[in-house]
Order: sequence, then C-alpha cells, then structure tokens
Amino acid sequence: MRGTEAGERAVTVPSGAQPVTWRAAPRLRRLALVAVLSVLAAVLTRQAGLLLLAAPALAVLALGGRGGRPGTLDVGVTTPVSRCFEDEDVEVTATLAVPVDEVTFHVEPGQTVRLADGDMTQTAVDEDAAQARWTLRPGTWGRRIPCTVAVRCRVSGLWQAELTVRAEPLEVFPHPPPARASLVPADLLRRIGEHTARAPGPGIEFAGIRGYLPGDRLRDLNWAVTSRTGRPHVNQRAALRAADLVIMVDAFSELGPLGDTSLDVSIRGAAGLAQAYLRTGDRVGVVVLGGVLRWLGPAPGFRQFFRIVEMAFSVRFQSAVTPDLGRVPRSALPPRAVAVLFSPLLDQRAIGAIADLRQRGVSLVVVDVLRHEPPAQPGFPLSSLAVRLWRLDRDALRASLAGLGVPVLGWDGGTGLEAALAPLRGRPLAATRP
Amino acid sequence: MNGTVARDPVAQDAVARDTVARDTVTRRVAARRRRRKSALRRAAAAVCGGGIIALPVLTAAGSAPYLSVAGALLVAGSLVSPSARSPVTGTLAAAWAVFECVLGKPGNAVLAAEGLLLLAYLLLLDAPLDMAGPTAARWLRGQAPAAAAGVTATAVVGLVLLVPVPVSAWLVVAGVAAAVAAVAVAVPRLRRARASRPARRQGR
Repeated sequence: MRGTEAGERAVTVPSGAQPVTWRAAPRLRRLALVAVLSVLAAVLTRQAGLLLLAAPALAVLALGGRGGRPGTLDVGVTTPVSRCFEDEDVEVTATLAVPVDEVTFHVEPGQTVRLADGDMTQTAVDEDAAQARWTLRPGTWGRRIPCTVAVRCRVSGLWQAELTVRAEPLEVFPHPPPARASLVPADLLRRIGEHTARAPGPGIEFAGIRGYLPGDRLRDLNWAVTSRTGRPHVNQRAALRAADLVIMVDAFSELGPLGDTSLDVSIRGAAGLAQAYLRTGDRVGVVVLGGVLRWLGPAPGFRQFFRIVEMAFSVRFQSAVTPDLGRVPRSALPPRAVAVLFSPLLDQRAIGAIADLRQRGVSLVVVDVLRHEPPAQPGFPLSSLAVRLWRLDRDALRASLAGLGVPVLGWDGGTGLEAALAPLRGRPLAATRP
Repeated sequence: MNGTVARDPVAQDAVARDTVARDTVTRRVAARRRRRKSALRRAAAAVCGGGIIALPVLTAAGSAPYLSVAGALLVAGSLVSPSARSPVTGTLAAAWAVFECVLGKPGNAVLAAEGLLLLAYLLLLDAPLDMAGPTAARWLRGQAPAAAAGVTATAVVGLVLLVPVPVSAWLVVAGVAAAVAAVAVAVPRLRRARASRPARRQGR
C-alpha cells in the first residue's frame, strides 16, 4: 500500500477504536509546492501573471483546512467463523465505522494464507460505514492470524491517517485424508459398525448355545434345541466392544517446506485416522511426543475430533527433553489399545519411545511420514554413497522395529491413509511383550 | 460456515467451494470493469499532464521544446503503473510545468488554463486506481468543490490582474496590514487550542 509513503513504521493493532494522528497527504504537499513555487517565481521574476498558477492550489488548500478529522478510527476486521479447515474459503470483512471522505483497505494475507477472491486494495468513498471483503484460503493448519488490513483514511484529500489492523486468530484444522478404521486390537473381531468381542455378553451377534442357568432371560431360550433335548437351552450373544485407538505424534523433528513438513503430514494423518475411528463409534486418544509430553485420554464422539486437532495446535514446541512415557496415565494409554505413531523416525528420543512402548506390551504401528531424502551433492561422489548408507540405515532401523513387533508403514500424505494401512488389514497386531 | 464446523469436513468443504464459486464469476467481471475504469482515469490524467507540459511550449515563443520532452517523461513516469505512482514523480512533473511557464512567459489566459490543468492533473494523480463505477462517480463528485474553488480563485485573480494598479506606497502598507491581520486571525486560534489541552486533561 502507498501508506508507507509516510515513512512511518506500521504498528498492528487489534480491531476497535484507535486514536490516530492525521498527517499531510501527498496531494497537500504537491499543491503546497506548486503554490510556493509559483508565488516565488511571481515575486522573483516580477510576473504577476504567475499567481494564476498558484491561485487554484491555494484555494484548494484553504478549502481543505475546514474538513473535520475524527480523533479515533473504529476499524473492525472480522471473519464469520473462528474455525475452518485447510483450503477452506473464509470471508474476511473490514469495516470502518467512522464516516470519512475516502478510505482504502489493503489486505496482507498471513503466512501460508492465499487470497482466493477480491482485490487486495479496495476503496470506499463517502460512505457512512465503509466495508471491504476478501476471501482467504488458509493452506496450513494451526492457530494463525489470517491477515492484517492496512486502512488509510483521507479527509478532503489533503489529510490522511493510517492504521494497520489484524484480524482475530483463526483456528485452522488439518484436512483429514480419507481413511478407514482397519486396525483393530487382537481381541476384537471386525464387523460392520461396532466391534464384536470374542467374549460373550450383551450384544446382537450370535455366539453359541449353552444350557439354561438361573438368571438367564426367557427371551434368549432357544426353543428348537430345548424341545429336541428336553432341557432348556439359551442363545449366547457376543459382547459389543469399542476399540481404543491412541494416536501418537512425534513432534521432535520437523522437515520439509513450510506447510508441507513431516509434522504437517503427521497431524493430517492423525486427524484422518481419528475421524475414521470416531465415525465407527470407537474411542480415540492422542499422545504428543515432543517438548512437554501431552496426552488426551481415549473418548468417543465427534467432539473428541476437535479436541484432538486443537491439541495439535501446540505441538510446535522446541525442546531437548526426553519424554518419560511412565508419566502417561493408564487412562490415556489403555493396555489393549492400538497405538499408531506418526513419525519421520529421525529423532533417537522417538525411537527410544517406540522401544519403551513395545516393552510395555502396547500394540504399536509406526507410520513413517518422511517424504524427502537428503539430497546428494552432484559435485561430490561420496555424497551419493552417503545417501545410500543413509537408506541402508533407515532399512536397518525398520527391520529392527519389525523385529520388536512394530510394523512400519510409509505414508507421504499424498493419498488416503487406507492404502498405507492396507498391509495390516486383517492381521492381528502384536499385543504381548517381545 | 455458520459459526460452527460441520460434522463431515469433506462434505462441508465441498459445500463451501460451491457457494464461493457461484460468486467468483460475478466478482471477476466486476474486477475487469474496475480495471477498464482505472485505465480511463489514467488516460484522463495523462491528457491533463500532457496539457500542462505542452501548453506553455505551444503558446509561448521563448520556451525550448526539449524541456517539454523531459516534462512528458516525468508525466509518463507518474502514470505508467500503480507502483510507479510515487509522490516524487508527479510532484516533479508539476514543478517542471511551473518552470516551463517561468521560462516561456505565456499570457495570462494561458497561465489561467495552465493553473486549472495543473489542479486537474494533481487531483487525478491522487485518484485511487481500484474504484468501482459508483465509487468512482462519488469520488468525482467529491472533487467538485475543489475544482469549483480553483476556478473561482483563478477568476478572481484573473480579474484582479486585469485592473491597472499604479505603484503606490499605500498599497504596500495595505498589503502588509492584510498579512498581519491574517496572521492575527490565525494565531489566537492556535493559542486557544494549546491552552485548552491541559484543561481537557484535568477535566478527565
């Protein structure tokens, strides 16, 4: 915006009434310069006719001095929502409640936020409540300020005041990739909807027939078997159980371009998996490794999805602390839960945590989210060798994890999680200590 | 997006995209119209700018044509693109026009026209480029008082210049008295404003 013409540093302020200082606009300076030059030239050259050049400029300057200038400007930058998903359009409205002659709004989208629609600079003239609208598209999850709006007001064209207002923070949720709840604890049979347990109990699925015992319901009597054998028999049903899924996110290391880092892929994968399991009525929890150890106990319902992604907003926290998994309570990491760890497998603390979890007998699946290999330097022949060694090292790490009973699956975030988890479909996960 | 997030984010996203796509075409057409109008305003400023540079050269015998080339370059520089519309280029172009008039010594009628063209050029130079049709009309209406004041002042000064004034010490004294009176009218207002500030603070 040409607001920087004044040479002043823009200070971003929140929405609301702000005191402003009115300064001379470029038009005032130009007119004053023309008037002064003309009058000087008329005096020095003794040509009174040159006053005709100064007359219109002086008249406009005299006229502009009368304009009323408000001491405060009430500018609001609002969004109709406080939450949205990645790549979802959000409309931003900037409003100036104070009537001025001319107001120009210039939007500056925040980091990883794109302007989807609307001119960056919009002008309103002589309106009681001037407004400007833009459609923004946030590209990356997180709690972020979608934009700042530079507002320049002019009175009589000769005086101007500038204000830079920031919008309220927007919670951008990760866009969950398509996924299915295909990983199930070993003690559960997979059925449509809720999971049917191996143990008998109240449920719908038929599990067997046994002799009548005091306390059995009469409606469970199997009349065919009872009449054939002459002794009362009842039908047994399989108990209905919900699976517990604990999603773990390795936030120790983050690699890749902004908006497409390994942590971004991890959080998107976690959101997709959480959504898939919560849809089928399962309980989902989350444990974040990195910085301060944080967790959320497994719970059902779609509210849990939003709790999980809101928790993800604070995962970017640099720390050198090694997580103590012993601090995670039993309720957050139930013994028979399936744990899925999204990790680039680069930090030794995360690898140590995997071994620790397996020692505790947790059914663990690791999803490797590393998308970029270290680039080989073309000028150095040894660098390609180093990359090959790095690959071998990664393969060895995967093999050692597989030896512990931890399958390692690769996922680059480009496709749905279903394809990545397909190798484990129908396979029981290791639930015992190695 | 009615303040809450829908249950199925994928379906919600699709609905949001459909809604926005409906308005996108209309907004693009409006943006194209705005660009066309902005080109018109720029053309008008170019005409006025060309006028302030060419008028002294065409009407006065004493001016040099190469001066007009430099002036035309300054005018073009002030109008080529929005990023080039720095206050310096436009100001230099206006100052150049005054300089040409000083050198060319044109007649009063030409100087009056030059002054009004200069005013029009400076007003148009300051016009926002991104105004829609109704906004542009309102902006033009807003410039009417300035234009009227400019025309009136030019007429008054032109009429005054037509009156033959003899050299007189009384006129000089009257002029000085008028200047002192103008200062006297202006300065107490400033003092009052300064004096009222602490009172207001105490009142708070």
